[in-house]
Amino acid sequence: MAATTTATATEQARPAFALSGKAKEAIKVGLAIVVTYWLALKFSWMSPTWAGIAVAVISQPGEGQSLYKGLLRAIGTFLAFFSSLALLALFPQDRWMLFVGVSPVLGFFAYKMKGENDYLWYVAGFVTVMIITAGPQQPGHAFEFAAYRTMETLIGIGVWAVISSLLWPVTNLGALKSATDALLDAQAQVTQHGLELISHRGATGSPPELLAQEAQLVAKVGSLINVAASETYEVRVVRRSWMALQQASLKFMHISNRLRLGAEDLEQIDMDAVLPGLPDLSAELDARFAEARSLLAGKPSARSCRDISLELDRQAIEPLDHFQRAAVEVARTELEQLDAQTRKMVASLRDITGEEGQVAEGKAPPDAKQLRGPAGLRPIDRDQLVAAAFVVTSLWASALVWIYVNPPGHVAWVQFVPTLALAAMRVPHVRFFPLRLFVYAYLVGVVVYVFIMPHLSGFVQLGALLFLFTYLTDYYFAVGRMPLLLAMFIMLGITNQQSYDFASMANNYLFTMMGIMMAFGLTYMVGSPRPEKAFLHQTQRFFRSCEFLVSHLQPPASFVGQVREAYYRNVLRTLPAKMRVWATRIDAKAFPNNSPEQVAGLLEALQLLAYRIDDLLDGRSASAAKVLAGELGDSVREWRAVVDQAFHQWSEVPEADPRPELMERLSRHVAELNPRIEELFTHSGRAEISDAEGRSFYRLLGTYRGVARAGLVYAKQARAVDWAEWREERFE
Amino acid sequence: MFDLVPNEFAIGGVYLPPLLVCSVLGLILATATANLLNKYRLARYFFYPPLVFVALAVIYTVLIGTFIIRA
Repeated sequence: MAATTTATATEQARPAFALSGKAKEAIKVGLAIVVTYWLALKFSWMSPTWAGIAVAVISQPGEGQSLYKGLLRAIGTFLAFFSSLALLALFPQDRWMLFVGVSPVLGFFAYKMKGENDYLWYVAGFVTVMIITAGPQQPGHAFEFAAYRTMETLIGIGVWAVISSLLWPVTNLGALKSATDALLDAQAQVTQHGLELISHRGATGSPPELLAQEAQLVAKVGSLINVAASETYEVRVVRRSWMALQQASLKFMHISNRLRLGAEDLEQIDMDAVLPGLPDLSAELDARFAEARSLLAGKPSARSCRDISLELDRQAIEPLDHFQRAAVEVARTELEQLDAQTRKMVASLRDITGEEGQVAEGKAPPDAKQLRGPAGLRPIDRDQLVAAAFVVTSLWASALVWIYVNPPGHVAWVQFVPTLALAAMRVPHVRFFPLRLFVYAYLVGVVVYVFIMPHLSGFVQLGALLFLFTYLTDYYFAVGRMPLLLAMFIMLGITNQQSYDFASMANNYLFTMMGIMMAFGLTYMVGSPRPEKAFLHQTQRFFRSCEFLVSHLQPPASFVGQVREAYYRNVLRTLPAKMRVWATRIDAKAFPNNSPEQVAGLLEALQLLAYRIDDLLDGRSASAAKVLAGELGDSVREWRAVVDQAFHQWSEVPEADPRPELMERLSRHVAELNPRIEELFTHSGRAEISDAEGRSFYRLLGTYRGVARAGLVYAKQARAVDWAEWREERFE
Repeated sequence: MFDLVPNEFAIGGVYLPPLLVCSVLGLILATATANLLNKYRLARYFFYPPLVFVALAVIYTVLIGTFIIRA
């Protein structure tokens, strides 16, 4: 009764008019823009637009998200400040040498522009170009320009930080917790589906939507940790544990994917009989996820992790042939890894909630599976190299246009076109979608500039216009708000000595459109903007990497060999994820013969191949590999030749069907290998082969078999896709 | 018929060059043509559609400039 009375009282106390979350965010952004412009105009700073742009770019829903982005923008601006002034000092009065000097710097920034901190390098890139080309606009004032640019960016960030933390503050801690909870829930379901699939209790495994949700949540939790840590002390002190939890979830996702995709290898095997501990493991994993979610909700720890034995049943495994035993061994290893990762998740959550009193500090743990080349160097990323080359080319192309043609826009060509090039390379699959928004925003800007602005007098009227425009944009165009605001602020060009010149505005508009067209035209040097074409090229690149790795299985001794191997392994690990992004952009309506489900099936087959080849390379140094290479050398060579040939064919024609030949040769191969392995075991005496060696041998044999099986799965999926339809020419 | 189409366009007292108007119309027509060619799967007969698009835009601009909006 008391509770009802309180609820009724709260309802009565609630005002009749309440602002929605969207309206509150829009008011905050509008207010921050007005305050920033007021400060910049009051103190007569060089270009008030810069401060306004800083607010427009960093203002995101949730305080921490903005602060983190603001931090990246500030660091990027500082980087650009120092690098551009150093370049100006090194090459004064020599424009060609200056461009030669800035090219590697800009290329480096463009190369680094990937991962979660890509925004930092993007800002560093375009601000560097802006500062080095400030000279021709205001000779002798490059330092002043650089200093103002940096200061106004920081002021914009500061104003937004104050307003967003004082007015209707929103924290991301709740978002982080709810995303983590959803992730744990999704992973619990994926685990149960996966275990049912391998023990033949469930026919299909996890639905694709659940898998997509899991991948999105892993990425979301990863980005929210930094965001929440930048605003909340509670997250910052246990950031390492949050990172460990996210890493464990990420690894868990990869391992459960391997298990699910490799389930076909176990279809003839009664897994419950071979691994009697499987039902126990299933129940234990379920209980661990429930425990983790309970810890996250703030409840005390109710149980500790139980040890589950995954010993093989000797009687049940006896009738299996060697390849089936190998498949069981691969699955067993993956189940043990699932067990280990869920333990880590629970332990990390205990740390986070302070259960064990081991609040960790310091840097996040490095990802053990992160690929490194020789001397600990990161492998070269071809896509990033292409991005760097493209951005530098755009710098030179625009510089030549400015110097030799000098159309409207003048030196701004050198600032605008490379900035567009950097933006295009940040999200290559989106290409020029945001630029359409720029075009519309400029049109609106023209109307405001011509018909409204000349009638304004004083900051009160200007502030009202800025607030109204920002509010409406933020409220009604949440998706494209940033390019819309940027384009408007650039177009209005607000300064203390405001003058109106239709010719200059028309020239500005013309220059912008020509710059966009030039940048768009230049993107063709990176490749066709059509996603299906990019997908085709990536498939061929994937198989070229497979071919190289399978034909060079011996660990390379030379430095160059190690660099090449690291490069191709990196392609194999990263390309399926990139292809997935491109695949989502393929217009299913334009290609009715290739449904999104077919493309998803193809991607799954490629992912399985990538996993199996990665396993093969990981296991090649084991002692079992020496047994395989020594005693079964000719058979392994034969196997490699078969697989190598298939990869070569697919790298040239992705839909090539070597399946009948592959099947026939591999079946013959398996039939030959089985008695030979039996002979090897008999000859050496089983007692001489320890359990560990036996496991290692079967695991490696399982990965060899897995690669061939994954190839067959790909061939089956590839036959269902209409590749000719994707190859057909179309207008973009 | 086209004699009624003005040679110069003025917005708020500002004259726009006829070539600008022609090129904007040329781009719009080229886009419409490209969409139609895509719809009826006729674009597959071209070797490199991006160049065809540029050529179409130029052809339309010249045709409009010669016969409709005479500079």
